[in-house]
Amino acid sequence: MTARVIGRHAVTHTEPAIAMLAPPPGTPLMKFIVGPTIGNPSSQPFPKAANPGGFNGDATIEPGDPLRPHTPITAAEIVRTRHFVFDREDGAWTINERFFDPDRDDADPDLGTAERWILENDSGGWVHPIHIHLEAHQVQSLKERPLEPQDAAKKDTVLLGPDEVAEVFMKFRTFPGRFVFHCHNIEHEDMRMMGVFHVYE
Amino acid sequence: MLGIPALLVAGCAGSQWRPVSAARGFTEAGPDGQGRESAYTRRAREHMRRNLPNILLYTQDGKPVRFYDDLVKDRVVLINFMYTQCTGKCPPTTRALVKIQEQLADRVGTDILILSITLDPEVDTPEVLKAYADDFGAGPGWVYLTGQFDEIDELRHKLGVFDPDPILDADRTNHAGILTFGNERTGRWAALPARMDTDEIVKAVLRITREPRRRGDPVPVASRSRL
Repeated sequence: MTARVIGRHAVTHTEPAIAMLAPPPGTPLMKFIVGPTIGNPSSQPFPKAANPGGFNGDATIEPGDPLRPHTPITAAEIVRTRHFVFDREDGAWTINERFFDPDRDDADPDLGTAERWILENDSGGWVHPIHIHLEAHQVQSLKERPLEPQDAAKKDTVLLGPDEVAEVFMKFRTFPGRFVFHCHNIEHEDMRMMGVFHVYE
Repeated sequence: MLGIPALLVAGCAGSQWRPVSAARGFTEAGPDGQGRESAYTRRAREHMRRNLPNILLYTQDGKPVRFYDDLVKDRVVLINFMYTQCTGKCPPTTRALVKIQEQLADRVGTDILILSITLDPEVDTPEVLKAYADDFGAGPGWVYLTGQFDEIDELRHKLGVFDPDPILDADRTNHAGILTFGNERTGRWAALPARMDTDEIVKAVLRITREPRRRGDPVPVASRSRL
């Protein structure tokens, strides 16, 4: 079996604002070939540092190829703890008893620092998959169940079941600016279970 | 009363709001003013028309009105559920609606109506609602409504203003903080908590009042994300 997902061409945008950013139609973007070991003799392992010739455009990963190393965020790096409580109010959804306001910053971390975020589900029997933009987070503990091996990976979403309290580490390595975190249940997200964190230089 | 459009039924005659033909931005040629109605819009309108009960209600002036035919059809409506003896969440919602009414200005009463529907019709007679409306400064186009409890309850459920937990649903203060708004001509409906920033609510309502953007239309500045 050889499955392929091949994205070859830029999409044509008719909206002027997007059209300015988009490459001309027909521009090759990136090709994904998904399947069991479609061998490519020119494939180079990641990370790029281990590949002196530079990236050759082929991202095929073979069994045994070294992957980008996982760097745990350590407790010693943590400069601040923030507590976010996810709740139901007025028939809608809040974080720390506030409804989402795109003009308000709900957290103000400093670029280059790491923080401990406590994410608490206080909304009764509801489940909230909390999705944090910008950076992967690393789950340190969950109140309602022991950590499993798969919890050790970098995550962009942590699932808060009923009464769950997740302790996650975030490290703001890359970009300053305003980003959101929110429940990824679309109805909760639309009904204001979202916050803004503003990463300051 | 010569020249009143047919959709302005007898029950509405003499009431505060103007006929929908005076509405801004829409013509009788169709929801986008050019007689174009997409299959999506047609399905969405049909879905809402089928699902929203056309119940008999009474305004604060004692006028009988049908919910869908007389209030919703061909308009943008903002709907909240309230009761006059509510001391918790109703007054903040009503105060938010006062600010929203001010910002939407003379559109309220033409193509936009604000509908405040009581959850306590036994107490909230038209006279009681009229006093409440006057206290809070409800202008033309802000209609307070009472009717049969069971029918209002069905409407509340059809609009999605309920809690799936029956114990929480029985606490009617839980239903007093949500604003539901929709545009019958486009079939687009939404809801937001009234306690959030009022300017954001007004922006959302104004988005609902617009016709759906067509392929090739310019991107409106107001819809660009600031994040």
